[in-house]
Amino acid sequence: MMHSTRRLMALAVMLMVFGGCMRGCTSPRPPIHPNPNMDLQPKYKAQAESAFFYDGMTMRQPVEHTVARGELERDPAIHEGRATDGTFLADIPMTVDAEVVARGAERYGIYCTPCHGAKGDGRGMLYERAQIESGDLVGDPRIANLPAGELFDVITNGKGLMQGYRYPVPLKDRWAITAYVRTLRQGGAP
Amino acid sequence: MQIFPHWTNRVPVVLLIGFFGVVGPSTTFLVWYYFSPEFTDVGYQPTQPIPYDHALHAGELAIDCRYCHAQVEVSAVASVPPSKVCMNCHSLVKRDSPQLAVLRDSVANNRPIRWVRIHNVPDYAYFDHSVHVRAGVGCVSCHGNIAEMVVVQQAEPLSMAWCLDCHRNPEPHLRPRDQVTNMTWQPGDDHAALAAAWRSELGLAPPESCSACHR
Repeated sequence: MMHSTRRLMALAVMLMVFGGCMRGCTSPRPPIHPNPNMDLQPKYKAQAESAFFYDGMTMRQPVEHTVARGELERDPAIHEGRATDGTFLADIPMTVDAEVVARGAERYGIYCTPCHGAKGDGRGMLYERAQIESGDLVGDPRIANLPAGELFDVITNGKGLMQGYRYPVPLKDRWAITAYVRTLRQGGAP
Repeated sequence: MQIFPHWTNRVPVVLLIGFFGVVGPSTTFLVWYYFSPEFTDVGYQPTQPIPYDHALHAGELAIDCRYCHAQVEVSAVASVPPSKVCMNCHSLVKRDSPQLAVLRDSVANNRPIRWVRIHNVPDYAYFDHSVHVRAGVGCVSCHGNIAEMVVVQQAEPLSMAWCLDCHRNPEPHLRPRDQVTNMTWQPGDDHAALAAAWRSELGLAPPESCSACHR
């Protein structure tokens, strides 16, 4: 009797040490730090949950009707792609050099190819997988003849089924993408 | 009259051998093995509110990491995307999927989705994604091959020793900066020379001082 109890205990210890979980095996339970140090501090980190604010978010929205420093969008040309009379600009209101186009190409690759495809023919991954065709930036004359300002406006605010990309693409990158899309229709890479 | 029986002569020896031979080494082993983030943190694979499949989105569909984690190049946090970003596609694709009910609710009611954070460095360490991405450290170096993970899990210990390993010898983890988000990029045979060139070009001097990460 005594003997078997001891054996069972030995087995339990062996199981704990060797059978339980080796390094690297997966678990859905949050990590337990045997030595907690100050690993978890009662402070707010980015995108964390808050028990204090009514909306449950640590990160606060700007107060309504306020603008953060440097984020006032009051230049119709650069922020909306429009002239002062409201018509769309024919050209990009900033210097476009090879660097800008290269930046645009890279950003196009990240944000636009899933739908419009690497060639801009409107047949990206969305078409391959779901047979939903997006705007053909190269072959469709309606799109190909858009003034730069309107192209920028569509990127910024969306159009039809396309959502606006004001977030996550910053202002200058949206113009860079506009520049790149215009080189696409002139037959590919700059 | 003997106060101590004869066997007590052996007690000091047994205690010494027991302590230094058994208790000491096994305690050392248990702490070394089980207290390390290699054991406690690696493999953490929480259940997310939406069974978002990175192997599908980042792997099969080949969507760039930055499509969703858009702040990674400019901010300390890579950022979990606002639900609106999901809707760029999911207003067209899988519109009625029951798995996306949480997403639709989030967008309709302007409520954030409670994604569970996986990679969590201790609160006294301040990691900055942007500086590492700009230096040309690939996502895969710290996160593992996310493009093959159906459910994301922590792949690396994120311990201080692990950070310092790379800070002391960063070259093996450097890559061309346009390949940072590429999960399958492999260094070529000339990697050592290239990496040294990238390092001097960017003036990389990964800090090893305490205040680099702890403030």
